Amino acid sequence: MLEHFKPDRLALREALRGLRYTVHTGGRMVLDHLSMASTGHTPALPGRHLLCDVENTAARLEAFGSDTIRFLLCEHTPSSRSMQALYELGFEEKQFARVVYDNLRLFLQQFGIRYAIVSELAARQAHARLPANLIDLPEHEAAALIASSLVDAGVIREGPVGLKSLRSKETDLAIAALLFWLLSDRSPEEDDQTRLAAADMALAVEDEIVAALKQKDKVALSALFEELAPHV
Amino acid sequence: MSELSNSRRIWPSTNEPLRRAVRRLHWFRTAFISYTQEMEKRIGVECEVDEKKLAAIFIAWLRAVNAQKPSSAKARSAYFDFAASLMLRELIGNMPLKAKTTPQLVDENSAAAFWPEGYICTLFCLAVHDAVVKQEFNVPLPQRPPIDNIRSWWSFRENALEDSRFAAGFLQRLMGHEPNWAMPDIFTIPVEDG
Repeated sequence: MLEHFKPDRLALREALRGLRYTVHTGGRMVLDHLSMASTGHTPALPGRHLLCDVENTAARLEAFGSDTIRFLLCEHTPSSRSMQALYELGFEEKQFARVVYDNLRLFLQQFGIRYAIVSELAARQAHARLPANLIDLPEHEAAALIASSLVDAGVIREGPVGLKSLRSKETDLAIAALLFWLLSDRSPEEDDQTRLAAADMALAVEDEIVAALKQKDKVALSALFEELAPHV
Repeated sequence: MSELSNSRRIWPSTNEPLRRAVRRLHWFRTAFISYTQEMEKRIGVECEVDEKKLAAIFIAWLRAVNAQKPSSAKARSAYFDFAASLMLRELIGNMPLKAKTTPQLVDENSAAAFWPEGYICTLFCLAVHDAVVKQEFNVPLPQRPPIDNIRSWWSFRENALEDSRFAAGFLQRLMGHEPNWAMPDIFTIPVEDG
């Protein structure tokens, strides 16, 4: 639907995603408050019928907002390409950013981060910062550079506006888990199982990942990917 | 429990040889959980599985196995036995299971009733080992000593909780070997293979 918007389509898409996030989290917060209020000790609250009406309206608004924005975004099936597949396709910027956007969100959820936005625009910027000869490097070395670049580009943003980058131990682990998963040898049927395994693997070597990313130690990170990614 | 060890249906499907599949976290985790569920039915117990611990156990095992991998192809068979014993060392040292009930379908003086978590982990290691060895070498497994001697299990639990290396020796003994009790988790090439 937005195909005719030639200039900065991705920026518009990011703005719509931010809006969807706001609608979603706003709706959830209303529902959470209402749920707490209906079970708590709040004598000044309106009657139960009114509460139910407001709750239903909030849920409908959230669903309508999300559906409308999804329609405007024309979002397609999530991409689960592996590192090898990205390499074979020339490690193209748009495909890379799409894979990061589609999957990093899932890893963030696995690490319990609910209020964050993955910026596809920042993922493209991370791609632009990678060395031109990346495709000539072994995959585990490239993965270490990619992980650092994603961290530096602030690909994970604080919700709801998504302008400020968010960095914590969990965001570093989510990025490392994404790379473990991209490097893993898997069939499409194994996507979900391997995603869980990649997240648990990152958690199991949490100290090593956090230290390597903090010290920007790409050699250590590369060694970790080489050692463990074949075992996801 | 031998029929459970030989049952293929409990292992997750894979296109790879089992020796490779077991070295993948997603297979290992699914296999452990499936096996535990089967054992829960068999001995009438309910267990909780800590999947985060399972991942840490897997990494520790993988690193331990890779660190001692022999270069000689002749030691391959013996190393498969040894790798299983290292797996038990890691499982016992960082126990991922917690029994929430007392086993209902076994004798109260049995090993399974005495220590259900240790029993399930031990049988899991034996079952994975047997499945891998059967596929790799296609030879009948050697006769094993009985595994239900409650006094052995009492000693196993006491010693392994103090020093998890003991678990490696215990499994080697269950597989019919005489472990080096001073260093049960250090691989030495058997004379007949070396």
